[in-house]
Amino acid sequence: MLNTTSTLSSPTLGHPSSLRGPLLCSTLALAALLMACETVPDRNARLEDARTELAAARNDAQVQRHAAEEMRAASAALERADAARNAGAASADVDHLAYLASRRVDLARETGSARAAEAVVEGARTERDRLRLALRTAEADEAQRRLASAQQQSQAQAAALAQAGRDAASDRAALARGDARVDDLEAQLKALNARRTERGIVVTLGDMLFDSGKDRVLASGAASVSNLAEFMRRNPTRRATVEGYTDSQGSDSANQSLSERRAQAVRTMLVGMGIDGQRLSAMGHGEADPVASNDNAAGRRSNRRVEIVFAGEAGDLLRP
Amino acid sequence: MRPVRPSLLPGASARPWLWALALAAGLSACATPPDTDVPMAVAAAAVQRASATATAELAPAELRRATGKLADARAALAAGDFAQALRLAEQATLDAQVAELHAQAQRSRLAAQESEAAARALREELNRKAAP
Repeated sequence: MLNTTSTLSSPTLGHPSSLRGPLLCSTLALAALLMACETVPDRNARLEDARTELAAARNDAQVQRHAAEEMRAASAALERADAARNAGAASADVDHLAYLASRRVDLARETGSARAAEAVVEGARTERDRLRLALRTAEADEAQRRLASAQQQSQAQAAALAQAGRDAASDRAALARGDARVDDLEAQLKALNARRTERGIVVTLGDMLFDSGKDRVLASGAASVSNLAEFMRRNPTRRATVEGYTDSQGSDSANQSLSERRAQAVRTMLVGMGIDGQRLSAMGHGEADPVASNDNAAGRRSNRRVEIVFAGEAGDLLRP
Repeated sequence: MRPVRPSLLPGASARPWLWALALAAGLSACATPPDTDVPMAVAAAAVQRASATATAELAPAELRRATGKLADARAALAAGDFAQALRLAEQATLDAQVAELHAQAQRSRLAAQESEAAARALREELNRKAAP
């Protein structure tokens, strides 16, 4: 406060230390005050520039939106400059205040621009996050789609497998039916004492079938022939060869003839039991291929026999 | 800093009426004597802050104006023109702030461009993914 005088006086007034007397001093001070305050308020170029800039900034959307506070400061600065001008302040001071107001407007403009850009950055970040999410979702969807497709495929495969399973079951059932047939055949063949040979299935009608030297089937062997006929009725596709054998007693030619007659006798019996003659052929092997010793009666009895040879069928191959 | 004051004070205290006059003059608010210490320090700090590399690159003209104004303020102070020193210090402070904000706005605009480019790239990728 004390050095006010020095500021007031310079440069328009002389140094205050030169002042002498209260009247002179107060007069000078009053004059200085009046000079400062009664300056005619003519237009200040800087002030008008600042006013124009402020008005332009007010119309800037970015500034409006993002720099309200800075605009208030700029307005206040301009008001101070106006007040100083209206109060008749020195043009240097008004210029100064107007300059400050202009810079405040600059600050508001830059702030608006910066914050608008930051809002764009923020918006782009949000957009990027959204897009990343969408991208991840798309990728997840794609993965899901692939998974579903794979599952669909595997379902199709499962369906195929199930069908294959059903087919297999059906096959198994067919096989089982075949097996049953085969099993049935096996049981029948077992009952007939049949055996598998390379010639086919062979059923031997032996033991007490014929008397020595005779071709008439004994009653004791008739049951065996009957069983054979039953077998042939149940397996109507099978063809058979009836083969006769003799023991070693007697000449070969006589035995050959006897064996043929024995075979024919059995064939005739089978036909008589209802078997189609076409399915049956007959032949004799004489005393060849004995199944037992011809040195004793029991052995010779076994050798006096008829063998029924069934040609092999596809089903026979199922069981070795 | 205040070479005038010591010589003035004794005279002032000797004349109480001068006190009253000085008080009246002060109340008129037309000519408060500038206390330049704080504004000068504030201006120096503002210019120093604005002199960061980033600002120098992005707002060289604004920064030059601020540093020039600060130099002028110091010169005015050295010359004993406190009022001018005060004005220049105040202007240098705002100039420095403007330079700093100008650079920041530039950086933000660049960041905005990059962000939008990144978002655009992502959007295109998404469109490509969605297409097939």
